[in-house]
Amino acid sequence: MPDSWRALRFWRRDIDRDIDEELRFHMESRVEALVTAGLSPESAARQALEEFGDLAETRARLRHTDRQRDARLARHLWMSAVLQDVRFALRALRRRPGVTAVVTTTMAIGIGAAVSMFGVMRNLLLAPPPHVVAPERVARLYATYQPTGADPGGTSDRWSYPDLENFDAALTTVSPIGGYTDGNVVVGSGPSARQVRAGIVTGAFWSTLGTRPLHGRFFTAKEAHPVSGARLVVVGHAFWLRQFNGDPAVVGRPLTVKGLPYEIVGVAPHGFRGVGFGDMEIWLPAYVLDDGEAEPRRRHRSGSGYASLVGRLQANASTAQANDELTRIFNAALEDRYGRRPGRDYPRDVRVEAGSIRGAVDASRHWTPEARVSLWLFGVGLTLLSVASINVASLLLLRSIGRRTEIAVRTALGQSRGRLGAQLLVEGLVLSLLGGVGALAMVSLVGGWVQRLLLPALAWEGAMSVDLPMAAATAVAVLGTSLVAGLAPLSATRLDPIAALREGAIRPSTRRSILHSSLLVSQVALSVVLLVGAGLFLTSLRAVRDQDLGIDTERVLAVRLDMTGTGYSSAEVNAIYERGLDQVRALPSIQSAALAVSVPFRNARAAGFYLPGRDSMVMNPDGSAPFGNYVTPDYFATTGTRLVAGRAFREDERTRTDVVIVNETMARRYWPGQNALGQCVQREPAAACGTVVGVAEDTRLFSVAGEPARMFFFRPLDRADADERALLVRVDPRRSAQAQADLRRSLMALQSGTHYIEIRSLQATIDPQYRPWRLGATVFSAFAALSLVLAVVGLFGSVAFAVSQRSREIGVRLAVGARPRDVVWMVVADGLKIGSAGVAIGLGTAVLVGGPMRDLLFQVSPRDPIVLATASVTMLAVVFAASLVPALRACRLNPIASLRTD
Amino acid sequence: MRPPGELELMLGTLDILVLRTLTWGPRHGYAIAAILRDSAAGSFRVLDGALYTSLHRMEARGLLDSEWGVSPRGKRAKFYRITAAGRSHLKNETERWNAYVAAVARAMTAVLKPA
Repeated sequence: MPDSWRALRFWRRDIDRDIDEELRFHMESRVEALVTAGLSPESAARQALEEFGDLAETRARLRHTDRQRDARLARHLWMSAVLQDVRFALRALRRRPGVTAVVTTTMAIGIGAAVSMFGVMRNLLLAPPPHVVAPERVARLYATYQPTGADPGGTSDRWSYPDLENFDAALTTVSPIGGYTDGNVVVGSGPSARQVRAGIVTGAFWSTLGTRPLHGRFFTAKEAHPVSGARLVVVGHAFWLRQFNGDPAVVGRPLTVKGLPYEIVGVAPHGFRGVGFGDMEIWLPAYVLDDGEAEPRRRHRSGSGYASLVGRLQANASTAQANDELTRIFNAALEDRYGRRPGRDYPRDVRVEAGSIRGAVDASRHWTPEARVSLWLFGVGLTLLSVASINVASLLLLRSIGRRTEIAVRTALGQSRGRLGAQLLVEGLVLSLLGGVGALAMVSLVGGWVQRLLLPALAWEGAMSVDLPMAAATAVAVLGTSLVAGLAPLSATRLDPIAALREGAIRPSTRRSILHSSLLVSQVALSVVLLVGAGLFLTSLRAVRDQDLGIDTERVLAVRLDMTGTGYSSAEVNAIYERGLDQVRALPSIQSAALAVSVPFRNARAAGFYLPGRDSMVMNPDGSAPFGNYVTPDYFATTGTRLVAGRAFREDERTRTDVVIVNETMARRYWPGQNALGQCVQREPAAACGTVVGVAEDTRLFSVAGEPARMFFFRPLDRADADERALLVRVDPRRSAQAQADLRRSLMALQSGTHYIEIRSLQATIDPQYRPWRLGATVFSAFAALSLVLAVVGLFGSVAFAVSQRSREIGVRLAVGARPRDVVWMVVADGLKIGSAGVAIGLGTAVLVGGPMRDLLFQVSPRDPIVLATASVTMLAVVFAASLVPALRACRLNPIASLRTD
Repeated sequence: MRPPGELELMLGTLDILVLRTLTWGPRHGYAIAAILRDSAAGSFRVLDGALYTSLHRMEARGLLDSEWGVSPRGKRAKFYRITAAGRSHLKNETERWNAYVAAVARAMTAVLKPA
């Protein structure tokens, strides 16, 4: 704070004294004059007072006026001091454009990193979904089930339509209440048909959120009813722009959905994504679910939970009241539904809660992995910002050491340390401000792109715009950075001017200050922490990708023919699939093909089975039923699932029900140490035996990670089975480019009326599951690399500076016969000392903070020695390289020239 | 309390009178009070408290400057001096005042015509 400001405080104390003195002088003079005119002292005093008016009130008024004036004056002086400092700082920055550019860029990178990661975290953890009115009053409903018997219990947000109706009829604390789910539907027909992601909602969904359509209207409750609804569609903003060029007259036009004629009734506002994070292209009423299905799944039945519910809390209701009421109504409904059937076990004491709609939360009310990773990414952004500001601080510190003589002169001329400090702080602030502006420009230019790159498939429209919270975050970052950057050089002002002038002229200080050393060390340490994080995520990503899923996901395509609305019976559909199977087998780009009821990683159905001598169904240890699939003989050749014993089904076994292939887990569990082949498995207790003809290796059902080994078995797929099916093909890797086109051409010719052929590789299906690790690995690596560069630049600068400061000493050494090798070593050791201290501290920090990261990693400990060692070696190698350059320069110094420089 | 014939000064008029007294050079508050008392000669009355309020207010507005000095009789006194801003303020206000007075005088002396 400038000293001029401090001086002003004394003035303030003078105000009262000044007023008193001024008024006393007036009174005395007046009384004197009156006495001279002949009045007695008493009556003179009385008259003077009378002429004056209210003395006390006047004094108060004067004091008020004077105080205001002083305050204004002080503000003015302060402002002009600051302005002077800013001008001075700007002049100093202009004088060294190189330093200014480096510093500003460093700051922009640091602030930009922190702010954009703040943006990611805010969107995933904190921000309410857009276009929701009073989002704090809108709740998502969760049911928590008690563990009973084999059922482990847990939390879920999946409800049935009757649950919704039940709540809607009885609730007083929550109203309205809407339901939503999502799904892929085919839009358009013929060659232009494509699959889009659709939000599927009930009528009250819109009124619950309070969202207004951009054009047209939304559905009513009646129109959205799952059984008696209407064929209406609301198009999303992006879809509307793309398909209809943003034409408002789109309302009322037809749109083919699932091959059926739907009518567009409205356009959703820009960026609207309901309460989820998925990028919904269109919105459909719940009616669409069973519309056109040959065998409706009776979505309106109780017990078939498929929708999430959102409700709006009434103004006078607390969340606790709502929770109590929801719980009461739901349990009463359960009692009513199941209680009449004695002996039947049904969930009791279910706790229903109204949870927040903020943040990316999964169906069990846990943060999604992306959301949890985003918290770490914010930390990473902050770390990079710290490294950047430390870097700038040490750069400014170096410069202020270079400016010792100037500072000493100014101190000697009487400029106070406070004034100098204020100047350095203002210089830091100006630099940070420049950096902040650069950062905001960077974020608004590439932030959205970065987010889409990091988190594809999430709706980010407008999410990265620079709004108030983002600007506030930037301001905080700017202030923090400027404090760090400005305060460090402050230490340089604490010097004895005489000594500094004498010393600086002859022999500049050769030792690095403790402050400067610790800045350099902490920079290295933070970089090591980021390197360790990058290593952990990269190792996780590799481990999760390299694991054997039991299926060659990269070479298998799943093909589905969409025939909703065509009116084909399931027997006809099956026949089409059989013909398709024969046809694609002949394609040169296809090595093998099979039909299956379930597609790995997309769906699986539980299938109970029994063993002779046991009367209860066989269960997995986690309480779930075993899963089964119905497949054609080439299934195993197609997916690449190995048979560890026995054989695959034969073509002549397709109608047989007495052959079974089990997986390893099942074989190990029931026939340990025995040959599973030839064992008996029953569909019903005491039914005919299915004989085990093969044992397949274990495969994953849905998740690439965190899935327990489950029992699984295969049966032959009968041509006549009514089940839905899919065609799986194994692509010839040499012809993978044309495989999809070949398939489409071949299958389109198969049957008129097939309005959409969905082809998707299994790899594409599981790809989103790798996202948290990929996200962590990408950001950690990128930021670790940046941090490494910053740290190295800082270290290089400091070592080089030290060399230049010691050039005289080095010259003397060389002149008296020191070997160049010794000089090189001396300089390199200087860098390595800092490097190794930083690495040691960094490793310690990484081990300390790594613990909570454990559940985000895959098959790697946060203290993995290889990762820690790699990070350390990388850092030390880079430090070595950075110090080697000035070291080599030092040993080539010409002794005579360097002695002459002073 | 006020003797008959004594007028209340209009708002803002005091400021002009005070500035006028300072056009001849710096003065302390008491001297200004004395000049006002003499020039008014009983026709209007200014409370000294109001004078000081006016002085401090004008100082805060930057129309006046002040400085501590020694009065002709050897006592410490606060001297006021008119600033450049004060001079231009006085000029403007004087013109306005004259215009006002002329306008009112014209209105008062105009022959009243019946409607």
